[in-house]
Amino acid sequence: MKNLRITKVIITAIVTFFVGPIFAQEADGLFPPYTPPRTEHDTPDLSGIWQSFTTANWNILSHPVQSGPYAEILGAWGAGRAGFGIVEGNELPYQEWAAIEQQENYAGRVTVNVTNEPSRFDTGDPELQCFRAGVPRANYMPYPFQIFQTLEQIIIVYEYKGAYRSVYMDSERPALDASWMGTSNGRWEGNTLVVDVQGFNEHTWFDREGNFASDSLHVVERWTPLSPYHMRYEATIEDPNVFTRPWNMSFMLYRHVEENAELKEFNCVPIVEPMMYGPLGFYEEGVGNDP
Amino acid sequence: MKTIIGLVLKVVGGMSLLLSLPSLAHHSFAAAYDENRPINMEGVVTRVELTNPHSWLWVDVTGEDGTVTNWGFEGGPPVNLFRNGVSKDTLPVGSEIKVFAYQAKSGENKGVAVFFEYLDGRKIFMGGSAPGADGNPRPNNR
Amino acid sequence: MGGETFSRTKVRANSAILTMTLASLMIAPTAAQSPSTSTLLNQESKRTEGSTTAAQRQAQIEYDERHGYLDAAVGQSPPPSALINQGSEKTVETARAASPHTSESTYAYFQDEAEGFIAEATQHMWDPTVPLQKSPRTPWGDPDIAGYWLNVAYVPLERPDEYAEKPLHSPEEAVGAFVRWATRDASVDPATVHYDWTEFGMDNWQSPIRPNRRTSLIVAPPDGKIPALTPEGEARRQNQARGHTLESRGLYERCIQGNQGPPRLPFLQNTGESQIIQTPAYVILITQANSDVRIFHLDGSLHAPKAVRGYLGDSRAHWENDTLVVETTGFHDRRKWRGTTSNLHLTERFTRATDDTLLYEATMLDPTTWEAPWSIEVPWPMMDPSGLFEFACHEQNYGIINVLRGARARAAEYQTAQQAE
Repeated sequence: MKNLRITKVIITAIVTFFVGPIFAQEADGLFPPYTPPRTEHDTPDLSGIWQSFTTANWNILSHPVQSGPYAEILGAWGAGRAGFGIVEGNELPYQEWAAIEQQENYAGRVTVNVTNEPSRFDTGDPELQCFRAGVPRANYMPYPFQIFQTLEQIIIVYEYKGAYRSVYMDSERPALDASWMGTSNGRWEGNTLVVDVQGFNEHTWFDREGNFASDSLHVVERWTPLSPYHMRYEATIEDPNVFTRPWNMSFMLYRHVEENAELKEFNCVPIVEPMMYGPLGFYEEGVGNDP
Repeated sequence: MKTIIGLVLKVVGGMSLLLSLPSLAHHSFAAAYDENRPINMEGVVTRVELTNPHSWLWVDVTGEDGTVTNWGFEGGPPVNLFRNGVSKDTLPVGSEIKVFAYQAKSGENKGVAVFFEYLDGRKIFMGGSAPGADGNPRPNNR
Repeated sequence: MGGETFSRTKVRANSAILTMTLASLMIAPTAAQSPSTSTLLNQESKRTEGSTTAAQRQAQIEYDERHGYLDAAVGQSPPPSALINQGSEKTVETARAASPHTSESTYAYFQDEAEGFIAEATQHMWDPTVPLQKSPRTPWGDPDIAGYWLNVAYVPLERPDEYAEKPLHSPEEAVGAFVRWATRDASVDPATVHYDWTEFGMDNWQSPIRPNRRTSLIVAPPDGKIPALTPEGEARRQNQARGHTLESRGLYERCIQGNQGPPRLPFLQNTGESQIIQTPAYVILITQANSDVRIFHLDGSLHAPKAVRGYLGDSRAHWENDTLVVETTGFHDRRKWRGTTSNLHLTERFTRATDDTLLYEATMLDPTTWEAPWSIEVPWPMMDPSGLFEFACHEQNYGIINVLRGARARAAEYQTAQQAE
């Protein structure tokens, strides 16, 4: 009896210390098993400057090269590359009305209709007017972002607009009202940061193709470091107003390793002012706005 | 309390009430709204935007001839309201409220509301401690 | 009460004052404490009792001309004659008659709370002569300045003339001044074209603000006033006056940046919430206003190349004993603040003065704008840690449209009136 118990202890030890780490990270075959360093608060350290390199901001589904709007002016500057998309199964389970809405969004995606009331949100890609990107879009826009970690919160600052999210780690906070970036509550599962995001307003889009969400959007993110320089981002998207079922997306994040890596200020408000307010007559003729 | 304040004032006495300059508001209310057009309205809330930089309450107002017009009234930022227990559910759509406001200089159906109240005079957001106040939590002073 | 006439009427800037001061806040009035201004502010309290004299109107005109109001032309604000109407007796009387409330009744609504607050706050005064405690430390050994801090003060930026030789109040005087400000805050004159700050928790007394022995936030130069502007600085300040084109409006009105600096000057409303986040290599200052994020680099790196400029500037920081010293340059040349643009060199200091106070000091240096540098000191009380909220200013900026339409309507009215003459 005693021998059996000891054997069990030994086998458990072998499994835990030798076999366990192989399963500590998701088995995706790209990298050897990886345990990230720890922060001063003894949590996995995901801090640093990260950026994705997908074309998902144009279209989260797979897409060909596109000339983009105003090609007669912008030429190759305004074009979008082809991409495989980041959505599992490469389809979005829209409800019937929502599939039509997405088409209408696309048709009006560069429409700017600035008013002094909520109707201003009825049309046009929010990104065009330098509105906040929302989640998950902010994570796959072609701009870097920086993760800062303290014990109570993880702060993610996006170079785009200097928009930021506080991920509450110490106690759960409800969303007090709707916002563009949602309200984020996080926890650790091993070395994966799991973030629950809710409390969105009804204006966010997933991309420039017009894929969109309602204020019932609920995102669960999983941030998993795979190497010192790579992190996998996954998200489960749920929106009972828009989709018939939840769906998943995933893509790779890359760490900026150049010596002088820093976020710059990208304040696009001055850039979009002429576009937004010019038609209302608030500019003199010929006045523009260099950033 | 009043005695304490009275005592302090007696000690200090005679100092003028010079202020630092008023706040750099988010925008110039003097430009946007018309001081010559104070308005009193009652109506039914159709939309509540508790977003920064300003709350906006949209209210259906029924005129004497029965036509219903939707008015928008600008209020303050919600940050301190959230901190004091107010949320998007505090003022439900359909609530009846009254408003004393100044109309937009442009003539639009918009205004800045000096006072937002329920019909019985209670404040909607920060309750104060007046009789009949609706028991909203007091401001957190510490 | 010893013969002092104490009016509990809240002296809210009526619309005329507001317009002038909103413009002038972006263009530091060098004569902020000139006799004319002081007279004007005293007149303000009389105005709430319903009188506007010819002398007051004349003072308004002089004030406007000093601060860059020009005749009506495209891009300029309505001139003084248009603004006069805003303070007229008739306007004020009409407003008061229409209002369901009076200043007294609005004060009564919040009176118990205000007095409760005052009684408690007067127990905790900020006294700059008391030596600072030794700062608590983070787990990795840096001074701990993290948390939620409130940039708020009743003390004026510049020292009023009556305290010219007096940088510090006695404790009793400090409490007395504080009591007056807080009490007056809790009422609102219905003729004020503005939402009632109190109902939105924006009165300073609805925060952990405390009495402060200083008579001005400016501690250098010794007279407690902003130094004189250079001719170049004065010209820039006048150009920064507000008109009725979009680009002439303030950066906060346009939602390009918030009203919390850099540097951070407190205002008379409780809107200075902020959060400091600390890691070994970075300190981040997030302000509630406009959700502006400033990242202070602690790694000894040099300032970014000048070509890479920003509205919030470029900040590099280091620790000096218990104090975080932050140097910020690289400001955008479209940034307008009190006559400066891109040449401002800002040094800020953050020290954990007590467990619940963060001491903020800032020195403004710009020889192209001011004849000398100037410095402020502001104690920031700790605020409750329920967090900051998204401030999607630009997304919901209905206000800029209302402001520009209104400003143009006023300018058009003025032109019509002029033609009629």
